[in-house]
Amino acid sequence: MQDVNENMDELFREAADNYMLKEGESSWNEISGRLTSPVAPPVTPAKKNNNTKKYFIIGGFVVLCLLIVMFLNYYAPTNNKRGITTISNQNKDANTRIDKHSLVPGGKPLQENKNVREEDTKNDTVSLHRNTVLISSTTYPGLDHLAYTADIADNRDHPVTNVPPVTDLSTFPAIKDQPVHVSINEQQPPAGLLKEFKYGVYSGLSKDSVEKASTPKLNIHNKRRLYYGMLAGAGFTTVKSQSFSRPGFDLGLITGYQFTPRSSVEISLLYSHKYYYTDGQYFKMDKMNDMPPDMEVMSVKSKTSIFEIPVKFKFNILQNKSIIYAAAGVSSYVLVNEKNDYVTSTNGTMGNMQGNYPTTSGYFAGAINIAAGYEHVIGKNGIIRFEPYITIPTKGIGIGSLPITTSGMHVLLTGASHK
Amino acid sequence: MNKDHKCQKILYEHYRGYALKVSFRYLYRYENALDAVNDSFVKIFNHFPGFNIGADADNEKIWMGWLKKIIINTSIDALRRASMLPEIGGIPDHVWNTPDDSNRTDQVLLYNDLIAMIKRLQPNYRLVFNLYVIDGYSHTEIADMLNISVGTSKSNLSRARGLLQLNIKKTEGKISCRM
Repeated sequence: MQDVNENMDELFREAADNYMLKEGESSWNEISGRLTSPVAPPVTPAKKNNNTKKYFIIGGFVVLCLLIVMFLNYYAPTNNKRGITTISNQNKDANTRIDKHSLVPGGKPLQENKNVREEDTKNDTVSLHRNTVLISSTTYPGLDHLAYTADIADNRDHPVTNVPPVTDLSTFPAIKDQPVHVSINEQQPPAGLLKEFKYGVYSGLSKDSVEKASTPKLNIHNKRRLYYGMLAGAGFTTVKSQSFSRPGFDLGLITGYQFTPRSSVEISLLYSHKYYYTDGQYFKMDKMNDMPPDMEVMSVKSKTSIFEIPVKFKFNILQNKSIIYAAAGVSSYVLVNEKNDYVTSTNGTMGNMQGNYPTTSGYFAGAINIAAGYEHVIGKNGIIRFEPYITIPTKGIGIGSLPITTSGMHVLLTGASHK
Repeated sequence: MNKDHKCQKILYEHYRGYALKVSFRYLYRYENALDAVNDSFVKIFNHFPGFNIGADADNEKIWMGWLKKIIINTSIDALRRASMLPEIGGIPDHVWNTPDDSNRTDQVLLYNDLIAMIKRLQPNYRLVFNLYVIDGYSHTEIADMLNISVGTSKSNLSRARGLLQLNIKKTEGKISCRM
């Protein structure tokens, strides 16, 4: 009976393949009228042209980032560089107070709100203002021009442009041989500064203050608040800890606001290419409206282009010449293109299929971003950061709603914006 | 495949005969089958721009399988939508084509007779027989497609086979002559 059935089945299959129907006239005109307007082929674009265009875009993006960093560096005022930017001896502490009388040869008091010498130049600015000595310079040459004169003691806001610079502060009797103790509350100034400022004026110089001056403080304010930079990196993307296909890359811009010496908030805009692989079981078919109902996805290789917007809180754990920090936050995604290579099964028949999804879709807080890093000063005004990171998905993205985890390394170059 | 109309027209012209034969086995109404074929191609060209046929023979097989699946689904949808009643009588002669090669004429007539024999089955038997025997679906898939149980699918197939064997025996002499 089985053989009979098989033979009969075979006979009918043969008949179904070979029977002949009149095809009739072509209905192409009717069909073409029902088709949507022709568009450029979305699936198999000319790869060469696209790659060239892509490289131009990436290259342009990198050049733009470099120009921004160069612009920020070039136009940044040099009196407020990163690190030791302003030395102030504020009158909060009695130990650091500049005695009005002690600075003035001849015993004439140096009154408050008197500008002893103020040169509004980019490179050197020395002023005495409300008992505060401000010396600002990148290279600290302004110390050579620090001068005090009794002539201005009674003249408020008297400009002293014609006061000759005094190169050796030790010539002032009032401050000669006075002990100077400097403590730095944020970062150590360069050795040269301390050396040159051996006879400086920011220690307790009066008798009273000298007696009290066990540990006078030098407040060095890091006034950097806002900073900008660029970053690049590479990372591996996986779905549910499966294998990865190939590394992706990120390029982007970063800006941050440092609201305490240790803490800052950063936001970045990254253009990322992510490559990942997943088994079919993790690929959700909800959005696959175009796929035949009996087709089953066995595996998918994806290549996605994403704009990623991480917002992170950064905290400096160790602060010395270099900084070790940790950062955490959330990343939002704007997926702009997705290309999938499917391995499918239709009634047990394996097949390959490609899908291209150029539609843009957004995923707010799509991942938690955790990072740690090492920060080092380079050059006069730059900071380089090496930041290993991992993004843990909070929701699935893309046509298959895949929860992608990316781990990798970012290299960041930042420069400070100055007030 | 892309949305370039020239390529689409070439595809349509090349495969419409095959598509019509598949659809006709389910609908057994020539005009309805033509409409179902047109609907299928519109569906393919509008909604499946991502499928890349290429020149590979395997890709063509995949394409053929896919095309067949869409045509079958469209035809079954048409059956449901129109609530088609079983058509009484044979298939009109004008729908058949005759081969140019006279040596094949008898064989083609045999095939046509076999297809007409399927038509004489009850629609539910016909559907299951077409899906299972000719197009290779499993009973589970058929049950899902037709909203019937797997047992019903198997039962319908068994009865369809029995009826066809009976019909074949009745026309055995005729068939053996053509074989």
